[in-house]
Amino acid sequence: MQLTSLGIGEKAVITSMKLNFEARKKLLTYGLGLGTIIKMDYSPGYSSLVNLNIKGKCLCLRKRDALLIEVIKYEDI
Amino acid sequence: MNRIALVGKPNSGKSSLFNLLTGLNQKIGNYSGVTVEKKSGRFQDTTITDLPGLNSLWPNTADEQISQSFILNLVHDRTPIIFVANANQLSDNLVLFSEIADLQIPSVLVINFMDELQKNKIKIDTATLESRLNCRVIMMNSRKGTGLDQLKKVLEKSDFRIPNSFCRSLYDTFDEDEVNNIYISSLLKTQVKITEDKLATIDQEFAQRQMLVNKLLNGVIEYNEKDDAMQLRTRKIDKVLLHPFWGILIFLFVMLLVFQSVFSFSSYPMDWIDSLFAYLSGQSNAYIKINWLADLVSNGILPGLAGVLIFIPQIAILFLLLGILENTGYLSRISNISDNFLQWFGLSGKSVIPLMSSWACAIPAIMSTRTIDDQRERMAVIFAAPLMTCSARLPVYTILIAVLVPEESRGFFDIRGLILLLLYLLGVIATLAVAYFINRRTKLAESQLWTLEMPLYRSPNWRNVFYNMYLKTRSFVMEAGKVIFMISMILWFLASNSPKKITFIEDRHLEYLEKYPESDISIESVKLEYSYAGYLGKLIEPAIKPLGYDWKIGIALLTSFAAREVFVGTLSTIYSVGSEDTQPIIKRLRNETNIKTGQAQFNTATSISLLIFYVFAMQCMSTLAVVRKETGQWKYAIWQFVLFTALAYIAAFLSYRMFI
Repeated sequence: MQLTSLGIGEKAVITSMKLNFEARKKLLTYGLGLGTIIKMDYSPGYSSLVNLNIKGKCLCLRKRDALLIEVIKYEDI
Repeated sequence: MNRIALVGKPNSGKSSLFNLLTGLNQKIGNYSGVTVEKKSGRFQDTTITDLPGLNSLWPNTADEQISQSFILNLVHDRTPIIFVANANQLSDNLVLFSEIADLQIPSVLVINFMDELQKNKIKIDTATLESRLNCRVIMMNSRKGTGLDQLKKVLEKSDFRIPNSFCRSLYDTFDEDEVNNIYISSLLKTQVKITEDKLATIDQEFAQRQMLVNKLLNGVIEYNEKDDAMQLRTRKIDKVLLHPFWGILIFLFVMLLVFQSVFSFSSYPMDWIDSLFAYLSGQSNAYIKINWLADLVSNGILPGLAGVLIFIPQIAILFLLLGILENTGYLSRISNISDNFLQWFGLSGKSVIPLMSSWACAIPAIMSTRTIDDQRERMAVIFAAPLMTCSARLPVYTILIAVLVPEESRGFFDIRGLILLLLYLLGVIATLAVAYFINRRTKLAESQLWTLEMPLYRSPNWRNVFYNMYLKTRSFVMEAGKVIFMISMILWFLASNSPKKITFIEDRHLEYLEKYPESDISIESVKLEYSYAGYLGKLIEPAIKPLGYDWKIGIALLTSFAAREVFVGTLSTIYSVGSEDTQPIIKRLRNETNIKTGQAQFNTATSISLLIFYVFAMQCMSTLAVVRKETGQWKYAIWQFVLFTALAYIAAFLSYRMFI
């Protein structure tokens, strides 16, 4: 499923990233790579952003980028 | 001399620690990227360098590149580092620590913000962590100075240890005595370009580092599975401050409050300073018996000083309020809620912080664009930021608004505050329009991914807030003040001396009285007209006449091309020269009449035209120098100057025609 489909407070594991090379490199520096556990903090419909919680740190991504990230819900693993 | 570097992720509290150790007061904020250049200070006989925060030794932005290069240079002479980790994100911070540990640099690990762990009842077993890392671990709260004594002891004993390496198996040719190993040379290559193949290795490396850090922290720290108190509080506040309606309403209200406060709270101290200098001018005229000296003091030195000191209350209040917004973490929320809107202009929420910093001064703002990783957006912000209303425009606006709207303040919301807000809004609109234009024109590629870190809300560190306010105000007085004072002195000389003989001036005076019998023109006005300054102003008068300006305003415009704030000092000096009248400058400007028309010189149309001119004009040599430095080319600075001056001229001309 796409990252943007996660509900507020839901945890998931990143399974694929269809982002370009520079973008993947950048996410890695934030500790966001394949297998990273993330939690959806905030994703209001009106906003262009999703707020993710990665190990206690809040990181915002644009929804158009988050659409390219595939996840599996933590509870489904 | 010994050297130590402060290294860590953005927003880990490095600058607070740097200030504690060195006694210096570097700007601190609760958002990433406050430190955009390395800064040095002294602790005993050791030089401490505070590096910009970096997320990884594989750099993404210009400021991360500065830190990475500096750290790689430390390897050669084994210069020790203090690694500052944010206790709230320890595992994430230790991934960066592991990268640096693999460089085998002597280190001390400082775990900062321990107070927040205590609030959340999280404990860290520092003894186990020390033995696993083979490195001293110190718990600190750099905001309050807790743990500082322990760190000082470590520094005094130079108890830096080479930590255990993490991923050495990936760099199996690493040799203890040879610093030119594969790890370092591959990091050095990233300064040129990372290849697709290399990214796969980095991906693998990060996964391994994360795994090793998790293993390392097993039994040392346990994160609450439940939301901790700080995060819960932050999320609750965010629900309101990031709300599409309430969030924007609160943002606009906060901004209105800031500008109203700047005007309302500063009006009394400004009046006191103005009256004090008017009184001192009167006293110096009465008590100094040597005519030229009395003239120099009362019409040169004192008005020049007043032109600087009168703006202290406003500048101090503006910086105090912006400092509070920064320190609480609210600025990142402004980035978040503004991202949607700014995307229309090719910008992002990240541009908000440099743009809002431009309200203080365009120079640090342009430097802080280094945190913007999208080169196209960065160029647009560098180009457009000087149109935001900097503090140097504030004196110009204040005096012209006061001349334009003579009514006294009526309660908290007075019309002058509203005009000031409109001028700030006009600056914002011009900035966004220019940014949009640059974005469309530039050939630089747009980066795909946009990210923003949101810090937890923290109560402001009042000591730092007030000290930053003091430093900013002092820098205005000492730096801008010097220029204003010097130009005031030169102007006094130019305005008090004439190439013509006194008999010529007396003849001209009589001619005026015959020609305009009702004008009541004084000999001093004619003296000023035929002074060196008068000739200079008249030289440019034909060009500025369509904007409603006379030669006196022309002199002020010319001098303020060095720096905008000089305008007020110049007017103050020009309208004081030869005058026995010691009334405050605002009243003097209001009473100034055009001898030929007999009407007020600073009428509504001229005042508005001047205000509009200053909204657009690029009158700051220092900003042009910084633009050249940051873009690496003079052509951008020259373009900026030409475009903004043309824009200012056209806009001022149109507004004069509209209101005349």
